[in-house]
Amino acid sequence: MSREFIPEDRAKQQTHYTTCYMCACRCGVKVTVDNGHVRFIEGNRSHPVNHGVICAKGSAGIMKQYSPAKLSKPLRRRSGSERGAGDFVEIEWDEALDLLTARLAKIRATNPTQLAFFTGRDQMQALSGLWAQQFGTPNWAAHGGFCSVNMAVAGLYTIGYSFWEFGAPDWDYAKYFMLWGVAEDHASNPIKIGLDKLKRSGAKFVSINPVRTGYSAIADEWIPIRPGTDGLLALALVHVLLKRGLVDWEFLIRYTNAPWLVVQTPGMPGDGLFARDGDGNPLVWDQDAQRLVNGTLAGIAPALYATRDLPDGRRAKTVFALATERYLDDRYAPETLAAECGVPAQTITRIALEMAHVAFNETVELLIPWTDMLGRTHHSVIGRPVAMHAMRGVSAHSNGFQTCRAIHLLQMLLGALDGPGNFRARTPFPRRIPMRTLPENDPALIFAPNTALKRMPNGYPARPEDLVIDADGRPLRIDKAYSWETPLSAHGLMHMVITNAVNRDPYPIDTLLLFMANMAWNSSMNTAEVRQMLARKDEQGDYAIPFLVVVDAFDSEIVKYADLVLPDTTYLERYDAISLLDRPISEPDAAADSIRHPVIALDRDVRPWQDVLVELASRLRLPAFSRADGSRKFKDYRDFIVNYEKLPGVGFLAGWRGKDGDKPLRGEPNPKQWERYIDNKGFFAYQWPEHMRYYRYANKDYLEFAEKHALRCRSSALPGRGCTPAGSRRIRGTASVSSHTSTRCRSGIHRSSPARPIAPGIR
Amino acid sequence: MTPDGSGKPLCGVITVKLGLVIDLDTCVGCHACAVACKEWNDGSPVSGPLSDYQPFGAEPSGVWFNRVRHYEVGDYPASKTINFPMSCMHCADADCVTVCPTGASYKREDGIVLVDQDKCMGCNLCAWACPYGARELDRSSGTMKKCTLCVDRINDERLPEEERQPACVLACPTHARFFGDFDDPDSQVSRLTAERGGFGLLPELGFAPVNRYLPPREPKPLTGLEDARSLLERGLASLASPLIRR
Ligand code: SF4
Ligand code: SF4
Ligand code: SF4
Ligand code: SF4
Repeated sequence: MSREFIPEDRAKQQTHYTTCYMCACRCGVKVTVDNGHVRFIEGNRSHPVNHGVICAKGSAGIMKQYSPAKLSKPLRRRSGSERGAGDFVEIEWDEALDLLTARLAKIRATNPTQLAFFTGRDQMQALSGLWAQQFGTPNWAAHGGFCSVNMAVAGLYTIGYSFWEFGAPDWDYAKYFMLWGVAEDHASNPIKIGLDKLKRSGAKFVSINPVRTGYSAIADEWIPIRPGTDGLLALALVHVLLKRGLVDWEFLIRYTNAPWLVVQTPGMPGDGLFARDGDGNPLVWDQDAQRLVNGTLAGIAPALYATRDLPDGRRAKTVFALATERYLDDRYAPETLAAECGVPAQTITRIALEMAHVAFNETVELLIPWTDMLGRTHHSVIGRPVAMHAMRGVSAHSNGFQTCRAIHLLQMLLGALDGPGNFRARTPFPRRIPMRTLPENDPALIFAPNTALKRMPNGYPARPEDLVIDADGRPLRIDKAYSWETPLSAHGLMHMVITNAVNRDPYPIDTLLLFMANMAWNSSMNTAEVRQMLARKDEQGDYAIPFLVVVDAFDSEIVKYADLVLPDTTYLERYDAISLLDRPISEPDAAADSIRHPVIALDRDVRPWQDVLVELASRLRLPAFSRADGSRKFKDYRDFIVNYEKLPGVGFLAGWRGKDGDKPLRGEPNPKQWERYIDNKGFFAYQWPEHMRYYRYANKDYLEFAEKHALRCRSSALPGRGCTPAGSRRIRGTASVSSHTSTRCRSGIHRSSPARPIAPGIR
Repeated sequence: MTPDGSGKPLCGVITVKLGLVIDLDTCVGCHACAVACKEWNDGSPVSGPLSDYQPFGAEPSGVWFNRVRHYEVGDYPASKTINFPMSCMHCADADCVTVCPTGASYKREDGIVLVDQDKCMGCNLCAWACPYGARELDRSSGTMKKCTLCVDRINDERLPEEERQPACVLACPTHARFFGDFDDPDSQVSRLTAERGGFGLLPELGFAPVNRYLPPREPKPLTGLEDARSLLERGLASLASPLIRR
């Protein structure tokens, strides 16, 4: 090619499109393989997540592939050696699987809670969760407890979607962007691509962060905040907006429960619950009729500020009146909070006014007709172009839940949700509020031998009756998720598992099965003590956690403590489905999922954990994986992905369904589905038509379509009561099924969540 | 570009000056460019490998063509973090070339400065001459390594056209990096440099660096500030319910 060098022989090289796994963003990558060796990893230009770019970790995937820390053979702790010594005997897969199957079969036949199965940054939670449910243990979750649960629960219970994977800022139309507590990740490439767009369009980028690194470096305004006080700052902004009446009244009245009446009987049962009519509909004060009416009706003029006596004599006040009373208090005045937040009062006031200015004076109007949930057609889509994003810097504080709720409250006051320029939802979100997937909590099922759970281990409790506790109020799960201590722990509390198991609190377990979960970061960073706990023995000289199985592609601190090590493949060596039933890769304008497939051959005696899970499930004859005669239903993971149906026509992959591959989103299995994904560079994207892109909590066409294709019950809502066959439930108006109408207390008293002042009343 | 890829202009009239533009307004200091550069060039026959010393050990280090520096300017809280990626500037007047005793270090007619790995004896003179710290001696090969402007990508017609770009440019997630010909006034790099006041680093040293940095943009003031001011002057809201129908 030139005088300086002999060019590479490109004819010898192949390129493959697959999905990155160097972090949780799941960018599309193009991998160049030269003579069986990974030569280069770059971004996939047509991929909806990263549009061709790649981050530092992504290109460094080569270093991971060729890391000497890769495990290469199943290992058993040498008898007589101590945990932590790392003294292993190499064993064959048959022996490893026989050993594990025997142990698991015994647990399942006696007390399935004796198995705790926890996974790290698992991108196949839909499968591992299904496996745990079928096994019959409630003791399953992925790593989210310490990382993101605050953020996710706040979002899902408040607006029906949440920051990070379940929504994304509208980088194209936002004119004002506030980034709370995000340094350089969650999401990585999508945020970087987006910040560049904002910079080009001249939008204002405000970063709230104690340190000015990463994204904050290029913020137009950096607000150095005292760590952990973001919630106070958000509420000070709320104070300023309320004080000046700078709120989107129409949004609050139409799309939230702000006008709903809340029972005020301090100290008495029912205090703080929504007032409802005999049919369970929320009551509002209609200013036209001058009487209490069903708040879900069209055409009424609900009062936002009202205190009224209910027919039974109890007093009730609107949500909005309660919120206004609380946040107009001087406690939330910028002058009061300035010192606590470390942000000058003038700055707080100015930011609030800037947001309001952009929201109300710089409105974006797109001439896209759409129909709301009450069937009214609007000739355009109006955006109040203020967008927000928050993640771990907020979420990992003990007050992160309340902080995220405050940020969502701010967005609701501005009417800035899922419109042009806002923080927008990604399919299968927004969901009903609260989601109708409840965690399994029936002790009779949980302790039943050889019985699958009816619901998934994880879910979204909405009432005391939904908690996972026994008759005496004690936790039924080893991590104590959904107990009185942590009632809303939607992702489980993995970081508590080892501590609780060693303390036998609430009960001892037999086997702890960990998948890609080095406890160095799945234990509240308490690494030294975690090692001591894993090595702890009881009076009889037995380990407090009798059997520890570690599944990982790489050696790590936790591997040394394992009794059995099952070596996994790397992400370049296996099949994977990044499913809409799981943590989706959808973008606001498209529902999307993707795959991985082997781009290089295996060179050691390791097996993809997915295949091992399907194998174990078949050996244990877990119902979803077995035929009536007990024989295996699926040959391997690849076969499972193609043929497993959660509901008729709904499987792990949404693309090219139907036997000819012509049915997107829903259709019978397609035997050539993997091939279609590989041909399409590893992903599937279903673009939303314009009229289904905005206000999806109240967008009739979107809601009906999503219902028909069972989209709104995907993601962590595997078998459970969250799903009904398509078309069996009619779509009702925004607030018609509020957070609570569907969940009457067993006592028959209607209830609500007293902790939530305002939430879009969406179902 | 020439059919043989040597960078020689087809005739004397056309001149080419290839280099990079780096936008300091959007660079978030993420090192994606540096790692993509390392991975591409490690396997490249031009100057690869970029040796790593203990890549999986306790103190990994190695050869990089591109390093991202981070500076804090101004005083807290009015301080700003500047991320500053630096690779070879492909200087028009490059002392690194003139000091080289073996002729290994040379400048091509398209402006790219390269080191002939077969001629280099690792004497380090060029690295001392370069004021930008752009050259690194590879302790494994004993030769000098530096940014090649991805000469084996930009001229490789076997790659799809949109991929005939340096690896760092394609990787950059904030699109802060641009590659092109500064002698062509209509090229993207020339236009960006003109529009945004792109500057070369340390021009006073006389090396005539080709790469340009775009300074951070002045934040655009919010439009309609009068309206914002009227919001400020707005008094306490009345607590009467607006009459709005659902
Ligand atoms: S941001 Fe994308 S490219 Fe980077 S590690 Fe994460 S998934 Fe991979
Ligand atoms: S990849 Fe782009 S944003 Fe990241 S350090 Fe390099 S130039 Fe800056
Ligand atoms: S930056 Fe340094 S190595 Fe590159 S051309 Fe200039 S003097 Fe030479
Ligand atoms: S142009 Fe190529 S060699 Fe130079 S810094 Fe960029 S990637 Fe590295």
